[in-house]
Amino acid sequence: METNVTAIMPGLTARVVVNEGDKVSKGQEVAVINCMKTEIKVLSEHEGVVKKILVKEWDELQVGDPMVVLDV
Amino acid sequence: MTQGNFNVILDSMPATETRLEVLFRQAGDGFLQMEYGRAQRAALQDSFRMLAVNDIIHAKKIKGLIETVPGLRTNLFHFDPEALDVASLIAKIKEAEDSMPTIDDVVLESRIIHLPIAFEDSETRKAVEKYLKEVRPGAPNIIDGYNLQYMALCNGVSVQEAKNMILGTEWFNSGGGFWPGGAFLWPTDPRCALVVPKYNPPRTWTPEAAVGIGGPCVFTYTTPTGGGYQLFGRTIPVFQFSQKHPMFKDGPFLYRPADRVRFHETTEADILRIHEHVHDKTDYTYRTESGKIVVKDYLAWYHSAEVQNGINELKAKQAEGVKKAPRL
Amino acid sequence: MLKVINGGIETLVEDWPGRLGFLGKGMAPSGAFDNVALGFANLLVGNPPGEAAFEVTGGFFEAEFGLNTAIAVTGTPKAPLLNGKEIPMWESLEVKPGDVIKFSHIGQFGFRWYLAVAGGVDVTPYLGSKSTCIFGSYGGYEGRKLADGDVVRLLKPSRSLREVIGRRVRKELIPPYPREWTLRAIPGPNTSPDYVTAAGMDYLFSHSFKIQHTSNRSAYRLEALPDSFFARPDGGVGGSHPSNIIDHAYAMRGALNICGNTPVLLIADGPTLGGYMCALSVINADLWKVGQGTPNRDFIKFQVATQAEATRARVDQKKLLTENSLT
Repeated sequence: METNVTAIMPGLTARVVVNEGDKVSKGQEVAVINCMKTEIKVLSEHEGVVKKILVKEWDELQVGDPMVVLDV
Repeated sequence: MTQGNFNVILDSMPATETRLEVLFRQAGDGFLQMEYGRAQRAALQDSFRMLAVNDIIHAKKIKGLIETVPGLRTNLFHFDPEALDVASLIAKIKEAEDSMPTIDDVVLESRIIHLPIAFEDSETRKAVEKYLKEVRPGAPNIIDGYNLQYMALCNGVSVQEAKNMILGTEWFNSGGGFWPGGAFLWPTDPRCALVVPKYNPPRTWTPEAAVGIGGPCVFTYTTPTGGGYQLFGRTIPVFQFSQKHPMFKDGPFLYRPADRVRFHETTEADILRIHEHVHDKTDYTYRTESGKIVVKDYLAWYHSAEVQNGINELKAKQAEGVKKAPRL
Repeated sequence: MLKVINGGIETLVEDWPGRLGFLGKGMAPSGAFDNVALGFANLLVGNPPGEAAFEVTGGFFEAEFGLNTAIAVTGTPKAPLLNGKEIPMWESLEVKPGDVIKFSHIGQFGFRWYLAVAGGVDVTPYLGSKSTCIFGSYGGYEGRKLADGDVVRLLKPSRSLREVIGRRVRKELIPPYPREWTLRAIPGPNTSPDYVTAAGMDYLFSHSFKIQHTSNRSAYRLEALPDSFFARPDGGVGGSHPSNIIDHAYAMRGALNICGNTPVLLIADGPTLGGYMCALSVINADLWKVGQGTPNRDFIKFQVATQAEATRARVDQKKLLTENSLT
């Protein structure tokens, strides 16, 4: 089954810290959002494998926007 | 919308032979800005007058006036509009202005604060090293691990001459507001007016009590913070959050507007000892004197041949220095 | 006491009107970014409207209560969970020792919540206020945002809990949170004709400015202005850019600083003095809207106001923030 790791804050994508094919555990940092001049970590809520990365550096984000697709 | 809607000058007082035009600008809900003249100028006599008038206004104890925030040529009045209307506030300020019609009448209460300083101390050196390592490797304003040689270079003087200029004048506080407890310090002796560019990009860390210069202003860092001034030494604490030392019992601040600072050279060991006696033992005695600036006398001295010649000599050196010093 | 399980993105102790009277000492007023939501949260639990409470920005704050008390949550419409169940907002309710409150992300509108506790937050006031200035690292709880493991002391309820539990803000008085915020503002001190062109002022008071993602408690940065905004070629002795001026004090809170071509609203922890011109100032009664303005999503529009209108708006806001607004 697929699930998305989504943006938790509006802002810009600072970076994605996983690669396609990586295994991620629950609570692991997946990406970083830049907002309010600070970096906000986006953690995975599930265990799984990174299937697809949907965003790149400086992409604009709203809350709920998908950033990474996981196979869980 | 027409242009007229944005005329924010609520009132004014005409220029006289010895005073610039006084403008009263709308500056927000509960804010009024008073300004001397329309042209941007950096002249200490504007600040002397502004602060002397500021003292008169404070003595009136105007109900609803929360605070005033003097700059070099402006003063911001922060008031509670439910308790004080802007027209009455302007009337009170005009009264204060009228009580000092000419510059000859301006006498400003001005303390002298004596501050020990150690040039090129090792704590401040750490901030310069950190910058070189983490922010701008090869920064041209860092020579032998410090900024003092660059400061001298910019002004066409030797390092010893630059030190003598820092030690040889009183530094006048035109007011704070940039950082908690900070003060903008201007040289009262124009022959000691070093001018330097600021760091580009700025530093991420500066130790407490480091002393630096940016443009014409000296700043003594009140707390550890980033910053952009060229660093040349370290003084004693000029701010204390905890207010443990008796000097800070009424507030964490040392400086008041119109204070003058005089630096006295000492050793790094002495500076460290004093830090301990301010923050831990709380028994260091700060050396301050009360005093006055008689603006008429100051201006007569400023315009004397001796001082004017000195200004011209320095300007010639600075013109050469600017050509040689690398840009930041 | 309140035991912090997750500090969230930025959770701060803030009161209102904050730390007034220290602009010349380089100290911003700080204070609650949205004083209306703070005021209602406090009133609901029986506190004066300016008492210190928790300002939850961005969300993900989680904490456990260690006492029996009343709480109220106001702000961005996304209800937090209490022991896993959504709680009503703009309403006071009882909590017991061991109860856990948990916020997730922000709602569709607005950016901040306020969590008030009956009696208030027990931090030592610094220079007359319990507000945190994160920019200067002082005030509030150790001068910083809350972090996992912090234990914050709470004051005892000043009134019987039975009297306050279940109270609500009248529905019609809950402030609307749009995506475009209209802020009433007084022009000045630097406007047309001397600093800004007439067309520039018209642009300022008609354009809808997107809030930039870099906006925080020191500054709300807006979209850049066109070069035609400026009436001067440069700042003279003040500097090379026409937005430069000899350092002057900023009307904090509310001044719109023109920093290069970027308009920057100075609020909460913002700078109190500097070398950029200021073209307008948001009236005190509308400052709360800036606090709900969401970076990278919402827009800000300015509307001309006079001091007389601003003063009336202050009086109206004081009337709004009384127990008469509760049922």
